[in-house]
This record gives sequence, C-alpha cells and structure tokens, in this order.
Amino acid sequence: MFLRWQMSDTMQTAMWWMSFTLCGTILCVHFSAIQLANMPLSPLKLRLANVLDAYVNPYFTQRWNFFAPQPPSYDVSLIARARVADIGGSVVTQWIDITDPLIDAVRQRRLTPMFLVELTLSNAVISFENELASDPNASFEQEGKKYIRGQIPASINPLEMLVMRRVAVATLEIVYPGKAFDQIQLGLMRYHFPRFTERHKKEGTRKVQATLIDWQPATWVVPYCCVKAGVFFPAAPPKIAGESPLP
Amino acid sequence: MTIVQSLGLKAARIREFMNVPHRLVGLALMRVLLGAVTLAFYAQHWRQYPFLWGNDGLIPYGAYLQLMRQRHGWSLYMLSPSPAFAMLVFSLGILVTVAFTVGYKTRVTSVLFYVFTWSLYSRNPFALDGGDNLLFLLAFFIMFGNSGAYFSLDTARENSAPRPARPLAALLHNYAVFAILIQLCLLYFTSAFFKIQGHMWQSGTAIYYILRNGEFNLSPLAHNFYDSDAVVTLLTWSTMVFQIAWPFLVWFRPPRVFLAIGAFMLHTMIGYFMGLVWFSAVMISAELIIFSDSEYFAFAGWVNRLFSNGWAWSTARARQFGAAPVAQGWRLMLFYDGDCPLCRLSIERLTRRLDLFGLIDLKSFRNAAVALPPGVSLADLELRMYATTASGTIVNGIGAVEAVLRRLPVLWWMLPPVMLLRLCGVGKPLYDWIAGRRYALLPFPSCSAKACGGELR
Repeated sequence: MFLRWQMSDTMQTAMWWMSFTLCGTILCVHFSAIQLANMPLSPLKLRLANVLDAYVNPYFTQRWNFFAPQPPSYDVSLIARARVADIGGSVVTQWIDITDPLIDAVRQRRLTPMFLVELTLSNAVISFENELASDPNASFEQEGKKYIRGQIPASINPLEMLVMRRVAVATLEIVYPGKAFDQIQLGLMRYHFPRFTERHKKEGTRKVQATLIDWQPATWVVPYCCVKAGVFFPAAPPKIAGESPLP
Repeated sequence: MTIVQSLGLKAARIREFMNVPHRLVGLALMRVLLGAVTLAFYAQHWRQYPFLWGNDGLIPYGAYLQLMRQRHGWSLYMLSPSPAFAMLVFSLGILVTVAFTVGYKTRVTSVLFYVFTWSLYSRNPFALDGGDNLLFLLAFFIMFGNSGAYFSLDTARENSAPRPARPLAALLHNYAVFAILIQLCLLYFTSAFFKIQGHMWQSGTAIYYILRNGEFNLSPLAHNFYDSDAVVTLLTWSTMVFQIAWPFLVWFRPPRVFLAIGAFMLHTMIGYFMGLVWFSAVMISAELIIFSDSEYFAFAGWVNRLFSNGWAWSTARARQFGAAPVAQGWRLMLFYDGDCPLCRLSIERLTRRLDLFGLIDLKSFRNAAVALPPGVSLADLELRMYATTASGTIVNGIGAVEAVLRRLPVLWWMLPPVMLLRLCGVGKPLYDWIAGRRYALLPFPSCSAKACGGELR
C-alpha cells in the first residue's frame, strides 16, 4: 500500500511537470507564431507564410496597428446611384452620399443601432482602398509613381465590393422606397484634409479625388432600421479628372 | 547547498506557486465586464440583426459559407441556411452571454460564450473593431481559467469562498492568466512598434490626422485639441510612450496603478472623442487582469474603511443636526405593531438604520406603558399605524408611511409613487390590504397572529 502511494505521488509529480512543460511550450509556440504574423514582412515571415496563415487565421487573427505607421490623411465617402426600371425604359437616380449620413447618425447618438452599419461600411471601404494599389485593374505605375484609375471594374475585391454594394442598395431602398433597382454604380470620393501646418485654412480648400466603379447588378437587400430617408442627401456628381495619384 | 538541491528547491517553489490559482478577482471582473459589453452590443444592435447578420442582409448565406471555407473557419451560423435557425443562434447567444456575465455554471458558459461570440463575429467580419478582436481572443483564454471564483452565481450558490483548486486546474488557470497578460503585452508592443516607424507619430502630429478623420471626429471639442500645437504633440508622444512602456512595466507592482490610470484616461478619451465606445470598454476591462488578488483585497479594504469612516462621520453630523432646535418641528412619533414581524422588519430595522437625523420616535402600541395618541383607540391601531407630528397633526396608514419617508432622505425616491398612490385613492385600500395580512405575509416562528398578535402585552 505504502509503495503504491509512493508510486502514485511520483506519477502525479511527473504528470504535473509534463503538463507544466507542455502548456509552457504551447504558449511559447502560440505567441511566437502570433507575433511573427503581426510583425512587418521579413525573410522568416515570408518563409513561414503558409504555416502562419493556416495557424493564425481565422481564430487568432489580430491587427494592432491602430493608425500606424501613418494615420489616414483623407476621408473616403461612398456614393451610389441606381438604374430603376420604368415604363419608358430606365431612369437613373441622383448620386446619394452613403457614408456621411451614417457618420452623422453616430455623431448625434453614440449608441445608435446605426453604429455597426457605419463601421461595416467603413471597414469595407478601407479594406477595398488598401487592395486597390496591388490590383492591376485598379491601379498602374508611371514614372515610379502609383496611380488609381478614374474608373475601375466591378469585379475587383469581390467581398468588399459585395458589402459596399449591399449597404448602398439598402440605403437607396430607404431613399427611394418601393423602387426596384436593376443596376447600381458606386463611387469613392476622397477628401484630403489640410496638412497639420495648414489646419486653420477653410474646409473649401480640400482636395477631392473620385474613383468610379462600373455599373453592376443590384439585388434586393433587407433594409437596415432606425434611419429616415431625409437624412440622406444628394452628392455632387463626381468629376473624374484623369487618374488619381495613389494617396 | 549543492546545485541539485538548489534546483530542487526552485522547482518546488515553482510548483507551489503554480498550484495556487492567481488573479482570480481580476479574471472574474474581466468576465463580468466583457459579458456586460457583449450584452450591450447585442442590445444596441438587435434591431439591426436582419441587415447585419441575417441571411438576406449584408453577407448572404452562400457568400458567408464561401468566405468561411476560404478561411477554414467554423461557426454556428454555418449549420443551416434557415433564417429561423440563425435567429435561434442569435437569441441563444444572448442567453449564454447573460449566464456568462452573472457567472452561472461558469466553466460551461465560458466555453459557450466563446463559441457563440466567435460565431456572431465571424458572421460579419466587417462589423468588428479592435475591441471585438481583443474580446474574442480574451474569451478564448478565459475558457481555460477559473473566471467564476468571484462575483458569480456559482460562488453565491455555494455560499462560501472559492474552493481550493486542483493542481492541474490551477496550472491551467495560471497559464490562461499568463496568456492574457502576454496577449495584452503583444497588443501594446505591436502598436508601439508600428507607431515609432511612422513620420506623423515621430513628428508629433498623428493625433491631428486621426481627429480630423470624419469617422473619428465625433466630438465638438476635438478642434480645441488639434488647434493647439502643444496638445497635439503631447497627446501623440504620450500615447507612444504609454504603449512602449506598458509591456515592460506591467510585470512590476509599483507602476501598475499608474498604467491602469493611464489606460483608463487614454481609452476614455478614445471612447469620447473617436466614438469607439465598445473598443474602449473592452480595453479598460482587459486592464483589470494586471492586479493581483492581494492588491484587490487591499483596495477593497481601503474602500471599505473609507466608506465606514465616511458613513460614521455623516451619521454623527446628521444626528447633531437632528438634535438642533431648527429640526425639532420635523420630529415624528410613530405608533406601530411591535409584535408583527413584517412591521418590525420594515419599521424597526429600516427606520433605525436610515433615520440619519434621529427624527423618528418609534412606539410599539403593544407596549402597555406607551401612551396612545389623543383620540386614537387600540382598535384603530390594530387596523393601521399612526404618526403624530411635532405640531400635533395625526396621520395614519399610507399618510403615516409618507410622513416617515419624508424624514428619511435615503428613501426620498419612494415618495413620488407613494404620494401618487395616495392621491389617486389606491394607497389607502392597498395599505389596509397589506396591514390586514401583516402576520400572514411574513410568518414569524415564535409569534403568530393567534399567539400574540391579537393580545396586548
């Protein structure tokens, strides 16, 4: 009996130290992988890219840049218009600003149910913008400088495009109730705000860039709640003045 | 001492340390706050469910399935294309979050909380910010820890302090806590690492560009900050310094309180100026893990002493005021049934505790030595309680309740409904109904209506 107890105690100690070492090793490997994935591109990260991606995504995905290395120096607004089937053919609606009224709704009431609609659109637009530079259908290089095309196809960045399009369709359904949309066109307006040293200048001096996305089919989306059609306003028709330098 | 002995001693110390679960209070507080944040998130957006997470909303079911397969992910919302099923998962998620927050079967609900929260977040990955990202990472580690040791229904049901943990459970818990701390360190370190590379952060102007961004310029006061060179530079650099310092200082006891205050200030400002309310709430909740249990107990003791001293001081001043001639006009003599348990509970205990000014003089009419108010018989007092004011006015029933409440500032919030009940005529019959059943409503083993309620002592 005494011998068995001694054995059991030793076993327990061995089990404990094995667990201690195993947990510690798992933690070391886990956080090494996470941090390597978080850091900028390096030869090691490039070499382990597939392994890291398989381990980190989607359950441990993380991004802690928080406006680094550079915060954005411009606002991006999504604008949209739609083609509505009519008796005499089709009618095109006005351009409607989608982004700004959503931001205004959050500004007026921080805990509005519109918060996630605005966040979703903003994340989709930023992600879409970030991908443009690496897509040859959306950008090109000239004399060592990258440019975004004035008009781009609707097939690029399909997931972000899907989200932007569906937020826009839902908004146009609110603005034009009862209308069935055949097609929708999206546009991205970039409003550069003044440099820090020019911050006291008037808002009118802001530089504006526009990128139009080709017409694409519009399918019905369940509309979002808690907003009135009156908050949305027509946007100025975008002027495409050649190609826009990559901001 | 030989090297082997020294190593053996160190190993024993490590084992001793790891066999005791650490930071139970911090993890429990984190559970409560993260659960509350998630509940608020559900409450804020439940009306938006069909658009944000529904199958005909932003990401249709087919596209969602494709996205999850691409990412090799899994979620409860993948199980069926039925809108009713998705709604069921969403509703169950709310129930699980409630159970997790209040600490009901915490070991199980912490796993369910992770599964349901992750499922919801993955249903629309565009609806997430840094706070949600941190929340589901923390929820993953919380599954392995004992987050229900404090502030939970589990502990309340056991009606005792947390039970001593088994060695392997304690080991897992401590590693979970350690993982949360490492995760937070990586968050701050990565953020600082990228910031120090940016020229806007180096030049001290980054905060200006963030606050000028339409999406994050939500306060009318923001321009007061970015108009000033000094404020912009100070805020930009102090943010960087704080994020650089956090992962190194958090391991030492003395600077922790300053880190927590700094984090609270930084994230409160982010919440207010940039509108990232839930992000800030999650970041502040995460900070709670940095303090040890002994630090929390010391803090609780300090707060307790502060309150008891403050309470004793306020009571003494209030009694002084109550004894002053100016307050004499407010004195009240209350005649009640001293044999009725309900009356004793509500009048004796409550009034004695809350009568800060000492204005109410309690008289049990069951006591033969007590002189009854003029014109009031014992039969009247059997029906309802009576009160006489300093000016000689006699009120009874609901009027007496109102007179008592007027003299107890802590209960002034009850005055409007009581007055309303009296004015609309419901108060009197309601009072009489309760008074007539006062022995039945709260039975007292040593005294029933038969035994002493109907007889005078």
